[in-house]
Amino acid sequence: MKNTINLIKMDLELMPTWVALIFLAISGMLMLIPVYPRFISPFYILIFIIQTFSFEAEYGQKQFAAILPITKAEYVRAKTLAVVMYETAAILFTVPFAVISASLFRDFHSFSFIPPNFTCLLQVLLSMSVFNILVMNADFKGQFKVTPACVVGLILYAVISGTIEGVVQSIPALSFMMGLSAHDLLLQLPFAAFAIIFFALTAYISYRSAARNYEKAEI
Amino acid sequence: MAILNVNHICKSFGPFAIKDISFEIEPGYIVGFIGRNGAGKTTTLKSILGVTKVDSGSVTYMGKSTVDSNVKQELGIILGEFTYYRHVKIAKLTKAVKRFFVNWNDDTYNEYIRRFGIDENKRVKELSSGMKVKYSLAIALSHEAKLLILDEPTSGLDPISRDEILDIFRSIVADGEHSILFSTHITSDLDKCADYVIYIKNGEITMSGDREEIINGFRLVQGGMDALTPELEHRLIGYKTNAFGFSGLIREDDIEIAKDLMIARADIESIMLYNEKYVNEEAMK
Repeated sequence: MKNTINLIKMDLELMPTWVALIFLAISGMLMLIPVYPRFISPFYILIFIIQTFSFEAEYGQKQFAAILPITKAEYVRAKTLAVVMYETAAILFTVPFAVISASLFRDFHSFSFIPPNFTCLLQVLLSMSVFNILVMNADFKGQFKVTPACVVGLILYAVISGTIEGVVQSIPALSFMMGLSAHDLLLQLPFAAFAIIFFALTAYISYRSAARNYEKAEI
Repeated sequence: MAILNVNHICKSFGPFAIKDISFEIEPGYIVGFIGRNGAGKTTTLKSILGVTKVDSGSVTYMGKSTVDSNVKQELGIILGEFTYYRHVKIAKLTKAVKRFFVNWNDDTYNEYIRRFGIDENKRVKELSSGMKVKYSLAIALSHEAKLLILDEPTSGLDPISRDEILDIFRSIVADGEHSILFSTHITSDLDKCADYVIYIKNGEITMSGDREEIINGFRLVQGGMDALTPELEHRLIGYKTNAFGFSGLIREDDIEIAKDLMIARADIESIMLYNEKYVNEEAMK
């Protein structure tokens, strides 16, 4: 685990990770727009994550890691954890803005997309999970495979989020999932819990699968 | 007892392959790994380090796999030119790197940085090719590695720097506990410091052993074209002709047939040249 932590520290120190702050700021500001698809807010951190793959190639990270006393599996674990860290940071960063949005624009939400509630969290986490599985596996299969995976991942993020949006809005029995009241939020909690578990599980599966791919890949 | 055992490793990349590569490295020796560009030197070194997954065979360091992170603590590695983190300052990069090494020694590192004249405030991209090699060496030498595995460590260095690096190599192995395996196509480096030589050609080891024994196993011969009899030609490993006659490489065992010609001591460079560029295809059949 020490090597994994050192790799993440190295990532944060040596790469222009300050760029993530720009995407976090964008995420927060978008959450404040009244009639706006909320699932788009944390989406921008995925653009930064895609940029980290190009940093990886530009900085020769994989080749450099080969001369360090670390295993390929440790490298993959560090990368996976870094991705999860950025995504979690984006979600957490948008929470206060979500609370402000929910308070200020309560009257607007009946005319628009899923409001900033636990259903929105479900939307975001499920979409990010699929993105993670795709891009993490592609990055460690070999060169030039990650770009198409990123494009597909972004498209799937929109498709999954849009599908959940459509399902929730079209089934009357699920109307509580559009609510912001304490009662509605309580009913949404199991979905949020499921989403968090699903996100963590897929992150683990991504890591295991990517590590297996990386053992066979040429650096 | 050998510290590094390479056992019958094979790896193919389409039409190119390294085949049945086996050798050992004992403590206290410098082993030079030589071959022309594209012969398989880098592929072999990467296979040893687990950077490239081999199709078959095994590599062990002190009985353990070389992909084990604990094993890599004892290896100092250079794999080509230092092109990583080009925009980062040397001082910052070193600070990030040294966390990984349990036996990192700041005094040793600072001594090499001073000796090599590296400005730590410079970014990697601002260093010359030679300085990048020196920086790679400084890192490789600063964590008490027992075995250095270096891919063309003197490439891009001026003769004075090369000589300095080779002096450092000799001083490292002098205690009998450290070893160096370095690949090169600069044959004079091997003449200066290698104890053993491994010669790879087209992905296969064609020659390996004590450097002096290898050199003494061949002779250079020279004579007029009339001296190049079919019998002699058949015995030559390689030869070239010019307006004045021919020169060639012959095994020491066959020297009797060339006893009337000019005979000189071979060196690694001529052994390579006559095995690769001027090879006698007829004699190989």
